[in-house]
Amino acid sequence: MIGPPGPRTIFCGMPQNRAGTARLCIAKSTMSHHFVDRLEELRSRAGRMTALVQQAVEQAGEAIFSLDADLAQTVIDGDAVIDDEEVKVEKAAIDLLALYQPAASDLRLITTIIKVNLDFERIADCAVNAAQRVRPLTHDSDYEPPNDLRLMFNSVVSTLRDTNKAFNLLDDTVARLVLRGDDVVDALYHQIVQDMLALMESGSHNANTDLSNIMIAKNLERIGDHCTNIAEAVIYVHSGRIIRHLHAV
Amino acid sequence: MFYGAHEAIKSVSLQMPRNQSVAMIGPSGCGKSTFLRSINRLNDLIPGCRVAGELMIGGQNVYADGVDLVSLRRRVGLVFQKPNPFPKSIYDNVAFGPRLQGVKGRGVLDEVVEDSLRKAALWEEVKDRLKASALGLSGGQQQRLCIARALATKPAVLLMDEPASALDPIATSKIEDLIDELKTSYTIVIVTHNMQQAARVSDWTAFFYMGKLVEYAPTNAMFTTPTQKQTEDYITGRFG
Repeated sequence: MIGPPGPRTIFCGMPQNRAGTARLCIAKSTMSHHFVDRLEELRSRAGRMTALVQQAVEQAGEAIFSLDADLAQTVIDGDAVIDDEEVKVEKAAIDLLALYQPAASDLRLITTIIKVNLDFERIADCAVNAAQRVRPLTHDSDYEPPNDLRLMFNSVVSTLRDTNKAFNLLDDTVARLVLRGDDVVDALYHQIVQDMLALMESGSHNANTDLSNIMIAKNLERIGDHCTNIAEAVIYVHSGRIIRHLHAV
Repeated sequence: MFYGAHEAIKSVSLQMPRNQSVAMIGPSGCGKSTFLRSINRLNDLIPGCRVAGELMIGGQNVYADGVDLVSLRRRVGLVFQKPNPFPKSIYDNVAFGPRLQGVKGRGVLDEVVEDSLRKAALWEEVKDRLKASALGLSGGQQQRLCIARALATKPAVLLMDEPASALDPIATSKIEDLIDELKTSYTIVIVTHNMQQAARVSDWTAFFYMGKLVEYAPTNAMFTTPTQKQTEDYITGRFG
């Protein structure tokens, strides 16, 4: 779902103090409809990108847990579409900067779209990397995904959904939830690495499978990091505060 | 500041740092030009206009009793929207102020004229035709001549009321470069409707609305993270 509804309702920067939400306010515009339309178009395009990325990650997980090599190939092939979208979003954002010289919340929004666009594209790359482990895993007839890997995947998918929601609605509250959720993903990643290393050291297990599990977990962990970047960027759009590298949120 | 019973500017309080540039923005009728003209008491010429409060320049209240207005306007130069050179030679335009102040020596005047024209980035273009009429210059050159004329009286503060709005983009760019250079030696206060120009030339920006100072902040903060909703709406074009 992309942005606010209505042909002439637009994003307008300053936060409102409505109880229970920190979403950005939506204001009727008296400004250039042309700019408003193009900004909405950009947000729609960026929103389509988030949906494609979400789909890629979910399909990659499904392919891994059901060892579906065809579905994995679909994820790998679909990356070209996402790459193409990334370029289109960037071009549209640069056009807006060049043609309208936006300021304040508009400027923060457009520069943020340029930044997070790259994060979304990288998330899709991580999905591809994870999907590429499916074919080697099909060689292990006894393959059973570690429970923590399932947990980690579910956690990452949930975080990505929240991230997309925070970005598409510019919802500061959801963005902060995303930041808090990354610790769980990191903890699961470290647990999986430890477990796989222990199995590899014991020599009683298929090392290729263990390595694939680690690589899948690593890519899921990277997706979590990109979600954090995006959430931090949403908070910047909302408040103008750059909280990157600050631990206290 | 009142026009009769109408309070045109309400309780404005702000400090303009020495040798920095301050842009004043806001919709038409918000009081920014009135405020600008109050700095050198040009509004005194308007019948029924009166001011309450203080306006300090270098520790002196310009609205105190007994302030010499000629001396004040020498220290606080003003450049208008439309270039307004006198129908005299380029030289005489720049020498006008110093002559009024009693400077007579040809050598001293020559020095002041050259120095002012150099500071206004016009010397190289006019040095061979100082005796030619100022009215023969292009619009952009005329505006820089007006700036040179203001600089010739060695002001501390330079007020500019939409100084580039009547100029083409190249002449505008020259004026903006000039402002950037001049602010190392003068405190510059500029009124502009061009938001990008305000962002480019000023260190501080003041946003006025309906006679009130809504927000006053360093320009980079004002154009990326304004704190007031009215400011946000104005600079993003969502006013109303």
